[in-house]
Amino acid sequence: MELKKISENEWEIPKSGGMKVPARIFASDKLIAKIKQDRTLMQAANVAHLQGIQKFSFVMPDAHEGY
Amino acid sequence: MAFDGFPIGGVAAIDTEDGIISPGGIGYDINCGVRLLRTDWTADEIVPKLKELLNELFNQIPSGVGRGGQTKLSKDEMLEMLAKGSKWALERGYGAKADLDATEECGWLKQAEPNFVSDSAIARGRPQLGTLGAGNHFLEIQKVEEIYDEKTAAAFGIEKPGQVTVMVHCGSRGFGHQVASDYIKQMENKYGFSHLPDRELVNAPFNSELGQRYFRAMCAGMNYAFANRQMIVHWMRASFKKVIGTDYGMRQVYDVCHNIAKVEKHKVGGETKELCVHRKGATRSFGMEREEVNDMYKGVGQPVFIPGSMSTASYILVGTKEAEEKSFGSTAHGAGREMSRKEAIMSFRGEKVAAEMEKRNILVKAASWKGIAEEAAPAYKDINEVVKVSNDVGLGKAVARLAPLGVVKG
Repeated sequence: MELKKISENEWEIPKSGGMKVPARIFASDKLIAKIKQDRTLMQAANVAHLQGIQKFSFVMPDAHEGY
Repeated sequence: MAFDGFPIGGVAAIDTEDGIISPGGIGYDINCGVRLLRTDWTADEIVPKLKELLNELFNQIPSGVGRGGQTKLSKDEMLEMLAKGSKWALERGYGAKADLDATEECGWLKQAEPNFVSDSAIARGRPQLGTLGAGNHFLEIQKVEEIYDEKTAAAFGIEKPGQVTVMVHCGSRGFGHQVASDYIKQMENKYGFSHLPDRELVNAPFNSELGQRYFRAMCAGMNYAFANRQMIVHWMRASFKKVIGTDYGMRQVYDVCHNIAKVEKHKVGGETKELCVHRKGATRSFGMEREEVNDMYKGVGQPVFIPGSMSTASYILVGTKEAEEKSFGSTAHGAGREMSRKEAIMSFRGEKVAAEMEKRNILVKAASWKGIAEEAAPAYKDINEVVKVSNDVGLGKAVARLAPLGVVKG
């Protein structure tokens, strides 16, 4: 999955496939390394498919996949 | 069934006109949230009585998996509570009106419709009202460690390092869980999930009959959690009164929700739209100009609480205009797990975790050792780093840091 660094603490998964908006992740290098270890980013890209979603599917700096 | 198609710490703002509502984007523990009280005491005054206080809190406020409360409401009483949230609790003598004035939505979602809630949700919710529950839920006695923004802190009643604060983190117990399960099933039956990338994103159009029924049942779940925290705060004050002799000065700073969907107006491409903002493991973070901000914080901004893991700091932040532009007014909600509960139980022993906390002068009382192991600090991300990102991006500005003195773990 493509992950672009936008600024020091902002990342983006560009729109692809059926995504209606990109995903935007707020995280430092240290936190993104943790976030990448589980399914969080994939889930954020999936959420971007939802009908009516505006601007971005957002991920906060403390995010993790559900257990 | 696990139901985690949405990340925890995810925000999705969805057009109410042609968009959907998804229970998975809100979570099972509807209106899980955090409430903070400030006090006039200093840590030096409270520490000698800490053990006694934790015991009293533990006795007054039931905790642990499925443990029942001091009250069991009749069905009619339940329906009234679900319609009125904290207002119902206040009318029954729990807390003060000032608590409601310092609660998101004043503790009362008027869109709630208890008749859209199943009998099984009511049956699960009845015995559990006024209880903490298990998992990452807790009561914590804390002290102010550092203040970053004195003016805003003063507006929140936070005056000096060493000042004692009291925090509670809990939600809607089995009730919210049942509401979510009921509607996930109904949405699967009616709309299916073959058109979705993941079964767990099941949803209904916001304006459909089913979408509206879920939304209004979910609002009843929000009211359950507000009433629950309102009752718990009442017993927290009663515990201090019994052990310290008074509850004078225990004023509520605020109560925030972090598993919710709310209808809010936001600017999208120069146009103001009505959106159903799903915040799952995310806290609303509104700046001083938003009409939703409670009167007492107009001109200040909404308080935001980001609790750390069991033995680490918690933070008070303030909502910002920048967050409204960058994340539909949302920020983080905690440290965020890094290790599953199962992994944590295999990695840590509750007795050892508690002994290590005690060495650092943090007392912990819990329903089970297993509960302590699950919540061991290394199972979580670094709260300081999470708050730093929120602060630097502008999603919520740091106001003060709170250090734990004593914890009652659910």
